[in-house]
Amino acid sequence: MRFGFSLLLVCVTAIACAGAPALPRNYYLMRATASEGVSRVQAPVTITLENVNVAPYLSDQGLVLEIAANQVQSARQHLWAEPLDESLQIYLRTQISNQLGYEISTNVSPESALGYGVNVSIEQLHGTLSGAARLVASWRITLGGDAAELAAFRFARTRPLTQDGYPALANAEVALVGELAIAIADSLGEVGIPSTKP
Amino acid sequence: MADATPEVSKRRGIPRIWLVPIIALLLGIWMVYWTWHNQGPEITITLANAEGIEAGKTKIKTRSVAVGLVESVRLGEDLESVIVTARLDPVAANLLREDTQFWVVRVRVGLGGVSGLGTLLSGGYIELDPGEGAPGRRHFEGLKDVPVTPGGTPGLKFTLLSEEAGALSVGNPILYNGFQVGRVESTDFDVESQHIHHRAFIDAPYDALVTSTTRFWNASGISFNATADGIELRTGSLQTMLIGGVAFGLPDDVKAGQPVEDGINFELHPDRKSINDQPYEHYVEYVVAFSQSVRGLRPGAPVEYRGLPSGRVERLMLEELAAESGEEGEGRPIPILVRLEPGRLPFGDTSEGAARLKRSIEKGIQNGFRATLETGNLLTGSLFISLDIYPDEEAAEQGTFAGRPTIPTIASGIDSIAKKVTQLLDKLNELRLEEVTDSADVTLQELTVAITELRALVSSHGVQSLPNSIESSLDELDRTLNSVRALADALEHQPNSLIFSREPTPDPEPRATHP
Repeated sequence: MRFGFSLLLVCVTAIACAGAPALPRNYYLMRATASEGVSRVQAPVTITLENVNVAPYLSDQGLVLEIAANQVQSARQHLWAEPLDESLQIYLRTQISNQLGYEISTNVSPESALGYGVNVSIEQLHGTLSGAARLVASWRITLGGDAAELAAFRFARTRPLTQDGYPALANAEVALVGELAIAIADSLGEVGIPSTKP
Repeated sequence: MADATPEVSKRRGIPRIWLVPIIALLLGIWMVYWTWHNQGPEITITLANAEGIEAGKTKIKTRSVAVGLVESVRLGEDLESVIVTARLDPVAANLLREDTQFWVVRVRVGLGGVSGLGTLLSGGYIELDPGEGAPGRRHFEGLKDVPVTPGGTPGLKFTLLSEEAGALSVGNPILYNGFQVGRVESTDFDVESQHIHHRAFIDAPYDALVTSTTRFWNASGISFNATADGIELRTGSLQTMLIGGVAFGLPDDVKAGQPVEDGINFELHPDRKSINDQPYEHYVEYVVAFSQSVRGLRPGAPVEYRGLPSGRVERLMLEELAAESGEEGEGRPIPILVRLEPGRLPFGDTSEGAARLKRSIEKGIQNGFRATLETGNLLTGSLFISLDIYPDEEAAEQGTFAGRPTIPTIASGIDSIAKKVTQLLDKLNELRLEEVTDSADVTLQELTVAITELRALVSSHGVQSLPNSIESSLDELDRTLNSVRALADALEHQPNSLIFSREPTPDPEPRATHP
């Protein structure tokens, strides 16, 4: 009896292990490097990138591809190396700092109550049926501890893929996020925050 | 031929020729009667002087219509007046009544303006102001000044009484909320009452604004008051600042009273503020005596009950103090007469309200009702009297001073603080301070050590990084739950996938758009 059960277990395990081999997974990193060789001056005002919220459908680590109208699929073999909200916050902070010429913060501190706050919301970030990457985002600029809203902006842009495949999609999405950072930096200038760059 | 003998007949009666003189006589009599009957009344007017008046030239006018002519001007028997005899037109006879007034119109220049310019060319004349009294009067006293209100003008005539003449004079405006509604007609000094009588007039329909509770005050010049209530600066209009004026209104929180009739007297208050000092008719008087300095306490200073104006200080009763204590009066509390008005408190401005206020105070004294001397204005040092209930005070009986009831007092202000500090120091002296100090020292040392340790704990890296660690853990938990949810979805879709893996399907390939 015991032998029979053990034989059955071995067979089942063998059958299970004889299944199709798993496909390799590819991880993509969203990182930007600070401007090398540039010494940043002290920030004239405190700017805090307080929150980067991503749409719920982007909570999976897989890159999202639109496979039909209003139908998306999260990739299983092509994943972001980090949670998207965290990597977006880091990437945006670096890129905005590069644009302004001085560091902005991502940590809410007591000094933040006296400075400006930026809250970004990523509404869409995926590949499209037309062979492009699409980014739709909005952000608010607030002032002071009572978070009085100074201005609100919206960003919607697509970028064609240069090649087939997920690496090209990831590159296009990173490039779009870089354009978003430039737009945010420009909007800070519109509300009177100075930039040290010409 | 017979001789003709004339027959002489004796004729009887008056010869017809006499009819001519008779008719002439009758006509003369009739003409005299007619003239006498149709000529106007002759009047005499006594004036102070005859400046600008000439017999046969000076006219008597009413409403700019000549109704008579001056016939003669002569000195009075006392040689201090002038008697003007004038003949009026018959139609003007009805204008001569008991209160008919006459005055000479000539050019007059004063602060209130210039009048009578028309007489520069035409010469002066005597104005007749028709009266409304009984007819038949023929001798009149001419007015010294031109009346500022024409006779018969509807409105209210009244008298303002003041102890000082002030800046008021004839013609000064009477204002209601800055709008002129009347004027001062005359001013004279009454020797008996030692008061200035300002006879004033308010035109209809504004006379309805004056009631029994109305108060009048002098609105002349600039009013500056620095009292226990603070500093107050009031100015009237430019006209009243230059030539003076009277304003009227109701005291604060006082409603309009009963309508008044001609001839009523009102007191003229010196300023707007003072009408609130005595807005009520009924009051009760009490004596409060203080052992502390009363410098800064002046008559009229407010008396308040828990901050509510309740009356005012009348005067210091130093004479009564000297009379009661004689030479031993030095060092005794200084008695002060205060007036409490029940109308200011919810007792009503009636004699019953005053009686209720008395009973309340009498009962309150047994429960700690006391008077204190408080500082009202730190700049001016003005004082006022505050009334309140101090439950911790021992029960007391109401006494009397100089025939008036008293309210017990307690020390306040700096005096009270000094006493409390003294009491505190006495208690501190009674304490065994060395033991307490040693114990407190040990406790403080232990407390210092505890605080130091607590500060080190809070500032440690572990505690400082605790919020970030918690946040990271929550994020990780969130991701784990997402994975579990994905696993649950997979199991629900393919229960055997735990053992038999599905055929892996490659992700759909994104395609670039190639031109």
